Parts: sequence; C-alpha cells; structure tokens
Amino acid sequence: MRLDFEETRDLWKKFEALRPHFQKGGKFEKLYPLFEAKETFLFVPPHTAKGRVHVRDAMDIKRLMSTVVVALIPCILWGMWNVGYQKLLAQGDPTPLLACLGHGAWHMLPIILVSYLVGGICEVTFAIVRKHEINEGFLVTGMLFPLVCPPTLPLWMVAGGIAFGTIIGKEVFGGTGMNILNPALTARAFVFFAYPAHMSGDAVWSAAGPDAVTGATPLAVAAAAHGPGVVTALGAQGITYRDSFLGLIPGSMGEVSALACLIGALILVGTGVGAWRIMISMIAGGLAGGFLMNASAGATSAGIMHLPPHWHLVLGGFAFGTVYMATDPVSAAATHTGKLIYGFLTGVLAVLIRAVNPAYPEGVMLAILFMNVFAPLIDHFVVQSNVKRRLARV
Amino acid sequence: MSDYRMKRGYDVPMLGRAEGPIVDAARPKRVGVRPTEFRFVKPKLMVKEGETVSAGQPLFRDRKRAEIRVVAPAGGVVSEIRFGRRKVCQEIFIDVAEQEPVVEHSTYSPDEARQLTRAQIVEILLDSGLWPSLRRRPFSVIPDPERVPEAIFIGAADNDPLPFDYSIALAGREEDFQLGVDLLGKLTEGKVHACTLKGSVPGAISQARNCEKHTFSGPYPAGKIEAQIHYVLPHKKGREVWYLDAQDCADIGEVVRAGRYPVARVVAVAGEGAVRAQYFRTRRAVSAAHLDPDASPASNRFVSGGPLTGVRVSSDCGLGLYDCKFSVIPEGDHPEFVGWMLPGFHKLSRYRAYASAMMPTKAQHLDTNLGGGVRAHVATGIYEDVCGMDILPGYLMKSVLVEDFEESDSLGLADCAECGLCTHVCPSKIEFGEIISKGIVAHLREEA
Repeated sequence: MRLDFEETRDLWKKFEALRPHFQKGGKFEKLYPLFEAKETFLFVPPHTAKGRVHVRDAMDIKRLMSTVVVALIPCILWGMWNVGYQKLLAQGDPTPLLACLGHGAWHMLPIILVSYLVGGICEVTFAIVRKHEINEGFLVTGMLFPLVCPPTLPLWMVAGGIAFGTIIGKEVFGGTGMNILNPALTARAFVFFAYPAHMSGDAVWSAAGPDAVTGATPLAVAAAAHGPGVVTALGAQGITYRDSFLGLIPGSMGEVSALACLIGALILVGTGVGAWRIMISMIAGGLAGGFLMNASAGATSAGIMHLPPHWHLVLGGFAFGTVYMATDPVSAAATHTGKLIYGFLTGVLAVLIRAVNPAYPEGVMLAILFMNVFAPLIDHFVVQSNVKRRLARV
Repeated sequence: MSDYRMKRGYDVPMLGRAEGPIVDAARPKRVGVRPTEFRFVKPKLMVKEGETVSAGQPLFRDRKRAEIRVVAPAGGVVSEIRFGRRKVCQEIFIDVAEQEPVVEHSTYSPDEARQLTRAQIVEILLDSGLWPSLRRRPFSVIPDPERVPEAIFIGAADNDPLPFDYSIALAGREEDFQLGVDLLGKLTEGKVHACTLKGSVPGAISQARNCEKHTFSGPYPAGKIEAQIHYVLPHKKGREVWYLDAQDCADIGEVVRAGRYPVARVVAVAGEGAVRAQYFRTRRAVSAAHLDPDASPASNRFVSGGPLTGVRVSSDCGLGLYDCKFSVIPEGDHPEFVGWMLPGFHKLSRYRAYASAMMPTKAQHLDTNLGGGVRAHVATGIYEDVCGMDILPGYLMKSVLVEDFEESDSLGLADCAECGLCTHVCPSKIEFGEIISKGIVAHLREEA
C-alpha cells in the first residue's frame, strides 16, 4: 500500500510548480538532475507502468543502495569506536565507551564528509554534463571508501582518492552500471599506490595525540615471522584470533571487525540485496587458498604461509572485501554460476597475494580489482555454456 | 501423462482473485475488437463505419497474408472505428443487433468431422475465423496455414497473480473439446499436448483422449503455455509448434459441429479495483464496463489479460481474442512522501528490504505505480532469480538493445515466455518486456 497524506500533497504541488524552470527551455535547465534527485528523494514519483506489466515491485535503486548503507552501519559504528579505542590505548588513557566513540567520530566524520562532498560534486557535475539522473550508487561508494582508509589519512588525499574513484573508476566508462572496476576500491588503489607512505603497507597508524603512532599490521607480523610458529608470533604482538574477529586491533576505519561485517552480511543476504553466492564462494576460496599455502609451506618459509586458513578470514580487509566490495553488482560477475567462480577465485587470489608477495600483505583489494577485470570473461564462459546447451537441444 | 516441476519463477501475491460460482452476464449492447493485439499483423480493414456485419464475417485481414482474417464476434452495425497514430486502426466497435445476422458454414456430425482431411480442416478454420486463435512458437504469431507444426499445445492452465480457473470455463464442453483435440491432431505430424496445472485438471482434459497430458507445478510462469512448451519441446532451430487456449480448442469442435462462429465465452473479472470479481458466462469481445459497470474508470486501469502480461484497454473496449479475463488494477498516479525510506509494512517486494518481508506471501495492496525512478541497469541477478526459462535475461536484453540479432537468437530470444517477471522485479524500473517485444518484432521483420 502506498500512503497519500493530505499535508504532503501541497509540498508535491510546490515542487511540480518549479519543474518548468528545470525542464528544457527553463531557466535552470542544466540543473535538472539536481531537481530530479531532490524530488525523488522526498517523493516516490507518481509515474505509472507503461508496458504490459502493470504492477511493479516496490524495490527501487534508492532503497537497494540505502539498504547497503544500512548494512554498513555496524562497520561504521564499530570502526568509530575502534579508532577512538586504539587512540586512547596508544596514549595510555582509559577507554570508556563514549570517549572512544567521540574520539573516533572526531577522526572519522571529516573523512566521510569530505568523501561524500567531493564525490558528490563529481557525480552531480557528470550528471549535468552527461544529462543523466544522479545515481544513488554513489551513496555506497562515498561510504565504502572512507571505511577502507586509515583514520589518519589527510583529507586532501581523501578528496583526491574519491574524485579519482568516481571519475576514472566510474564516470569515464559511462556512469553507474557501466564501470569495470569497483569505484571505491579504485579510489583506494589510487591512494595506495600514489601515497604508499600514508596507506597501510606493512605499518599501521593509530590516531594518537598530535603525532600518529605506527605499529606493524597483523599481516605484516605474519609475513615477517618464519616457520610454523606464526600464531605464537602474532600472540607475542598481542594479536589473538578473538581480537581479530571482534575488531580490537588497529587497522583501516571500517574493516577491522569481522563481526561487524558478519552482521552486515546477514542484513545484505537477509534482504536479498547482497549476492550470497559471492560471499560464500569467496570465503571458500580464502580457506582453500589458506590450505594450499599451508600445504606448500616449508619449515623456513614466511610465517604467513603457515597462517591457519581461518585466520585469513579475520585479518585485514578480507571480511569487509567479501561482504561489501566483491559483491558490488556492477563490477562483479553477473551470472549465478559466474558469481560462484568469481568469488572463489577472488578468495584464493587474495590469500595468494598476501602470502607470496610480501610487498602487499593486503591482497584483498588487489584480488578484487583483478577479478573485476576478469568478471566479464567468467561471465562470457557461463553465457557460452548456456548458448551451447541451447544448441545441443534435440 | 508427465509431470513437470518449475523451480524458478515468482508468485506475486495480489488481492482481488475472481471467485466462483459463474453467473450469466446480460447480453452486451456493444462489443469491440482490437486489431493491434495480433503481433506482426498489419490490418487491412474489410468493413466501413455504419456497415452491417454478420457474426463471423471478416472485419479485417492481414496485409501480407490475405488468408488470415479476423471476424466479427457479433452481428450488428459497425458503429465506430478508432484510429491511432499513423492511421493505424486501434479499435472496431459493433453495436449488437437484437436479431443477429450470422454467417452459416457447413455442419458435420462428430463422426463425419473426424473423417475430414487436413486441407479441409485448415479451410474451415480460415473461413470461420478461428485460425487466428492459433499461435506459433517461436515468437507467438499467427501461424502460416501452409506449414505443418511439430506439435500443437493446448493451454488449460493459468497461475498468474490473478488466475483464471479453466475447470469453470470448460465445464459442459467436454465433447466439443474432444472433437477439437481430434481435429487439431490432423494439423500436426506430431502429437497434441494438453497442459494443465497439477491439482486443478479440468474434467474435459482428464477425460480427453488422443492427446499427451502434462501437468505443471511451481511458481508463475508454471501456468503459462509459452513456458510450458519450453519444458516439453524447447525451441531449437527449425522447430515450429503451435498453441492455443483450451476454450478455443472447444470452439474448433463447436464450429465444425454447429457451423457458426462460436461467440460464447467464459470471462473472469479480477483485481483489486473490480467490484464484481467473478466469472461470467458471456460473449467474445465483451467490455469490462459491461461486466463490471461499478468499477471506476477514473481510478482504475482496465487490462485485457493478466496484470503481468495484459494490454491496457479503455473500459468500453472489448476483451482480446487470446484473453479470458480482465484485470482491474488501481492506478498509482500519486506521489508518496519519502516512500522509499518508510519501513514498508504494506509494500509488496520480492526483495526482503521492506518490513513486509516478514509475511512474504501475504497479498498486499498493489497499484500501477512504478515504485521509483528509472535508473541505469544494475546487474543484481534478480532477473536470473525469477526467470523460469533456461536463459540469461540480462544478457538477452543487452543483445536486443544493441540489435545484434544473431546474438539474441543464440541467447534464447525465442525461448523467452514474455511472462513479465523481469519487468516486474527490476529495481531500475527498466521496461524489459517492451525491449524483448521490440526485439521479437525486429527479428520477425528480418525473417520476413
């Protein structure tokens, strides 16, 4: 049922009265995408079905994308708390809940604001120039990017990163639905390669006091250790499996807690918005990759080769990447079978990059970007098998 | 007897199903025919406004195939012919006379009729005006009388959101139906197949002989004949099968027996906007306004056919030749304040992102609103989730959009049952069905 309030009808009429100014020949013709965005934000438009399908599902892209943002809330809140917690911990201060959240918000909110603002300007500019609607997918991109950044990232880098991600990652391909790479990860990859000193390579920043304190990331610890005693080496640095799962370790703002990602995954799969095929197969891929590394590891090889497979799932960006990044419907494989293959290979590749290439202990981002490029190829083979099935009919 | 279970599909829970028992509707004063409902037929009118026609007299023929003629469903005066853009005839109305003139054809006893040759049967169907009831797969166009199909399918099932019960429609027509089956058997080299839903097989079909019987179960489109054909004899290069509605099959028996174009029809009126959502014993080409005069045309949309596949018609326009129900659906042409942000306890969605997901099968109020703005296509995989056929709808749509006919052929354009589900669930509000339909017409043009 759709509600029809007396009070809101006047507001709608006021909006409609403004419409001529924004349409062709109007004073603000160029700003039509802004008008459309504002109007459809406040109202589900009165458009009715035109073709032979007279009733439509209530789901639209706005609800779809805002569901993803809702699923990100556990990560945002946990990240906010954890940023503050790590800061106070590094300073040796007590860590009450509200203080942690406050300190976290102090570092996190400006980054999120800059990301939305700069990315939003890019999106709107392109919408005006290319004459298309403002796509709500940006709500997700603008939030995903800050969550995979360290809390100490300078704001101008945030701005540069999100602008690169929106323009080069999405708009140059023709906008939402046409991009090959995940825009948020493109943004992160840009910052990662352009300013490696500021992004987590093997060191991680806790936002402490006037100067950031650095410490080794768990993955770097694991990479630096030798032999099968890797879990002990991690333990010596105070990193336990429980802490890693809950997200009590320093790291990028939103991706430290596998638990928060798990809650997000439940929301995404429960609402039917996220692709469970990708999540399940990527976890399977990660575990398979872990076993493969364990099996091929020698007594003296890097500790990360000996890292038990289930550790891979909770360290670094694996959980976050699995739930929110690899499942981006535009850049992932589009067919059901393709999604299973794509997810599995992404998981394997992420662990492979982590273990084999010590320069980039954080392999998930690169694995997803790499598989984004291969997703059309995977789909191609799935489509061809469908075509062959059709040709083989008797 | 074989049983098929369709795994994929989607049942849209809608309010306003037609209820039995059947009632006799008053004799309509006016009936209407829509020449636009026949795919790939360019109508050439054979009557003028003001002319008196007999029931069964041709109203128009196909410009390209002169033998394909659509006849008047009633005797009387052609009172109005409405034209649309480019002078394409949209609707032909006939004021039904008190004493209807009728075109008489030769009559046969059932035994005589069973001795008829294929050529004779084809001629009877073409002359009587029943030929257009047949359609062929692929692409659902009226078949060429010269061709011999691999099989003929009789559809006696419907499980769309406002289903039509064929048991009611076929009650008492068992003998005509059987005669129809026997005559159809001569048109094909293969078999006649009768398709029904598991658990609701009309008596006429359970008793029928000389045909293969198939039952189907599962979500919509399990009751759609185009989908059922895909499971029994899926399309392949060079394969042509014909299909028709079970009421039309009984009509074939009747026309041979009685020598007159059968005008009686069982029609349902359904949908939330309908005041009398029930079954009527009435005539072909009857209007929705006649059956349900209290349903308001101002606040409702009248659809000839189902809510996912039907054609929007004016309330005074007649029921389509292939349809057996009117869906009366409330118009949703009002804006909803912050609708997409609300919890949505009463919003109907296959996704579970609204609060209504707690009771997924509960029928909700549903109107014609799009439910959001049109956006770029996002490959969420929902098309593949609901598609009951073995095709990848998203790829098919793209191949049609870029007009790569070879590609759309190999991706199964001929397999698409045009069930309307992809369009229904699309969160980007893309007119998937219209794209496919345009692709099919372009394909037919290429073929011709």
